[in-house]
Amino acid sequence: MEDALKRAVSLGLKLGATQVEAFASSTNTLHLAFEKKQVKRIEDRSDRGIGLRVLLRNGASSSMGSSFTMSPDGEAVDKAVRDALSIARTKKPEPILLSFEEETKKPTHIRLVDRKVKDADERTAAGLASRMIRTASKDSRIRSVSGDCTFSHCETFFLNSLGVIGHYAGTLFTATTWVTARQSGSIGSASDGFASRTFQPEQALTVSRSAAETAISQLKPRPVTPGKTDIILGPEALEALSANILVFALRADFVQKKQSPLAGKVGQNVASASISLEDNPSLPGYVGSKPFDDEGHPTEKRTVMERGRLLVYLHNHRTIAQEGSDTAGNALRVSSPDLTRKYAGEPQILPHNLIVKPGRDSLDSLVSQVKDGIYAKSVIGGHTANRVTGEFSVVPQMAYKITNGKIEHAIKDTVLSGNILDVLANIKAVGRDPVHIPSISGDSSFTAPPLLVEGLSLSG
Amino acid sequence: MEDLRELGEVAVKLATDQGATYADARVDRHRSTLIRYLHDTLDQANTGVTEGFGIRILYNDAWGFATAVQLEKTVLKKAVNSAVRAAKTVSRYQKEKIRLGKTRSSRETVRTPGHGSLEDISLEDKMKLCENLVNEARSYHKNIASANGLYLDSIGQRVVANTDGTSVVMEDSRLYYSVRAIAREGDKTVSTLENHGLVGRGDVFAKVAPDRHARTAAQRAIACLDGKPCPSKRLPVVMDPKLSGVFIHEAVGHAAEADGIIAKESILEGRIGKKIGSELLSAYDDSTLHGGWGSSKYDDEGTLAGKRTIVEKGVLRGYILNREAAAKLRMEPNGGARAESYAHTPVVRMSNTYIAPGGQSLEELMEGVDYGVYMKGTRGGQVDPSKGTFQFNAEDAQLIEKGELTAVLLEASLSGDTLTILNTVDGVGREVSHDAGFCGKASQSVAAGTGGPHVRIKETAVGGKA
Repeated sequence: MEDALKRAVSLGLKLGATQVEAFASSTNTLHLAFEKKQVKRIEDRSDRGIGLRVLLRNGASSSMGSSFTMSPDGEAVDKAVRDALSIARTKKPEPILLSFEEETKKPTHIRLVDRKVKDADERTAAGLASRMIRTASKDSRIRSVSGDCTFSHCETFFLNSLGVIGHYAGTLFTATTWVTARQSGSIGSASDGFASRTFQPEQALTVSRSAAETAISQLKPRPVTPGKTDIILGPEALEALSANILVFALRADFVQKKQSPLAGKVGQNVASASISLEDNPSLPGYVGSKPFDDEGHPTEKRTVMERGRLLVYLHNHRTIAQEGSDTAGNALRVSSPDLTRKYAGEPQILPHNLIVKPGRDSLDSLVSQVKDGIYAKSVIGGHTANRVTGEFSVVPQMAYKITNGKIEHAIKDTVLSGNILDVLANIKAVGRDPVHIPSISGDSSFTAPPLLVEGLSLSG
Repeated sequence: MEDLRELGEVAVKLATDQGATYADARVDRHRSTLIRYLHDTLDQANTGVTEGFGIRILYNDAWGFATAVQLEKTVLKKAVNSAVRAAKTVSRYQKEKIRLGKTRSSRETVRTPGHGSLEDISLEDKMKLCENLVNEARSYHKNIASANGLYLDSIGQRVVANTDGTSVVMEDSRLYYSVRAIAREGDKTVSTLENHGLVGRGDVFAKVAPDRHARTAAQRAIACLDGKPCPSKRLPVVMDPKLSGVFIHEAVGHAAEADGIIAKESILEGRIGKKIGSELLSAYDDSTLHGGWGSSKYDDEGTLAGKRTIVEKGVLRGYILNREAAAKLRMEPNGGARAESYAHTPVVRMSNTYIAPGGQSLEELMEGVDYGVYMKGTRGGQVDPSKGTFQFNAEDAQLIEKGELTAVLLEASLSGDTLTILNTVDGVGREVSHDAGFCGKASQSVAAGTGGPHVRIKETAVGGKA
């Protein structure tokens, strides 16, 4: 791969590019799917490709073109270089001085590979899946158990014409279980999942057990009374709102184009004082941890929000060039959940590991603070949210009625509507047990404890 | 460059040589182009070739799957060996053997109708289309603060070969574009989206209408500036064709995908022949729809795809089937297996799902509503097929008062329970239109067409903030 990247950079410069950036990823994935309480199939996937960007500068104007190829062969690489240049030459130059990464300082090494994930074979996967199925199937009311586990190993290569060069490898282990329970005509369903850079079979069993228990607890749901209410949002529910609204609101490109509900609010209180948010790319085991971003910039921890006050947006090279600030490092090429296809898209602004700082309250303690409300572990419909305004309407899933500080019963037939800014401002209490969830890209994550939010609107 | 068809046929032969009782292979080569405008900036412009090979095999009646990214015969054997090894492991753990429904073998090359190639359309013209989307929307009105445009195309071939003797080469050529208009007045910001997808060769580029779509998006956004929050209560709803298409896709289509049926994760399990909805409701999933966004002559198992009657006058008539589900349910395979790419195993997916026309005009549907909501366009939806819970958002909406459209409403969403809401359809319009979209399932995204006429629902939960 390195030779292919060198060839691309060299040819790009020869053909007239001012700067060239070459990115490559190579991934091997073992994926096992189970359905109806049995192992269903095993998939052995390999993927690799090269993503190129070329920059043409003319005075104070710049034009960038991008392409990708799945083949490191000379002919394919040359064609990709020519395609990228063709795009750069066809585009009208922008009145902005763009540059690729110039920092040649070696980034901090982070251990991202677990050999148990890298070397996992079909028997490891099948053995684990069987245990996950048995764990979830213990109760006679469990009708169906499905799920999967994935073992991925990905190598990332980077080279640009300014002398920035980098390589790292990382592994990804995920395990998910979906369970359907049935009793007296009522159906309850639930899912739970786990992801890490390291192999953690006991966590896989924990999520299987949790999915089964939740499915059973979801039997015989009842409607709730519509109106303004207090809501405990679980980590999965928060991830849906983060991935579809909050992350876009924090992106400097959307802010600069005035398409973010957080535009113009740096330095202002945008959330409850109980909320602090950081992006930390160095945490062991977290799926978003990495030494440099996909523009080659060394990653660093960033405090995004402190006690409710918005401190920074997330940037890439373009937005820095626009603003003149120096806080790049959040450019990621979005991958599939198993880390494949990173080379195919252009880098976008994303967090590495976006973390809501945990508080002190256990889930029981949060529940005890609710006189009349609901607890929603997750939601469906997050992707229908309006990113520009922050408005959303979603359906709570794995959700429960809370009355006088106690969980009463599962609920159904209700819609939760609101605005992300209202959610942030009305957080009354922060739980203490964070859950780590891959989000948007296989190498980006969101981690949060449950949050108690006042005054959201329920209809039904 | 190796011949794709030959690679597919060699691969399935290698699989049988290794002891597989069945194998199917998908070999892809596609070029895609993406252009995105963010406000006034051509933010992304990217092109590339995706190519690779995936083989799925049955060994000891168990599934194994493997991929390779080098389209060379020398690499196929390693992938086939991996798939066999995977299947051998699965066979030691699985309790139920896999059986497949029988299909007729086919050997054909299917071309996309039309002339020329989208690859011959200049980059400049594609960028200009995207630029027009943004400029036309922004120039519509002084309160259009911003606009985003997107252009995508994909041109290429997929080969599907299997051990039953099928070897089909399918050309695929399509383009998609969208424009989001963002209107602002004081503190109020609203946005609306228009999108359009076309299947065809180079000549289809002449059918694009970016100016019209951009003006429509801008016009709706400006109207939304006067919008008030949608009421949150149970109300009668009239859905426009775009939304009724998404409704049937989410509320019924996913639950009718037979892999969910055999996994006991669908609310429609065991209901064939039973009344599940209003007599006014009939719905189809049609892979043969001429020019349909999700159309394909063969599915990704190589089965001749067809038109499937899902619901007929309120009665559930059929499922969307792949070969495995067909065998399990003792039905005929109907070509419902699709894979996003060579790197994915085929799963049961919809193609073009739509509600059949009824007999009422839009005016007649509105007349029957004293106080309700007219919902238009969609930002997509989601469903839990095991419980039959669904949700989707309209792009914009209007209040219906005594049969007349009045106030513009914001952030209107619709959710409910499939088996309840289907029985509350009490009016179906006359004219069906079809739309292009993308559907996500099992970490795969495929082009899925949706369609329908105007449809009225007697009463359902409408989400909003008022």
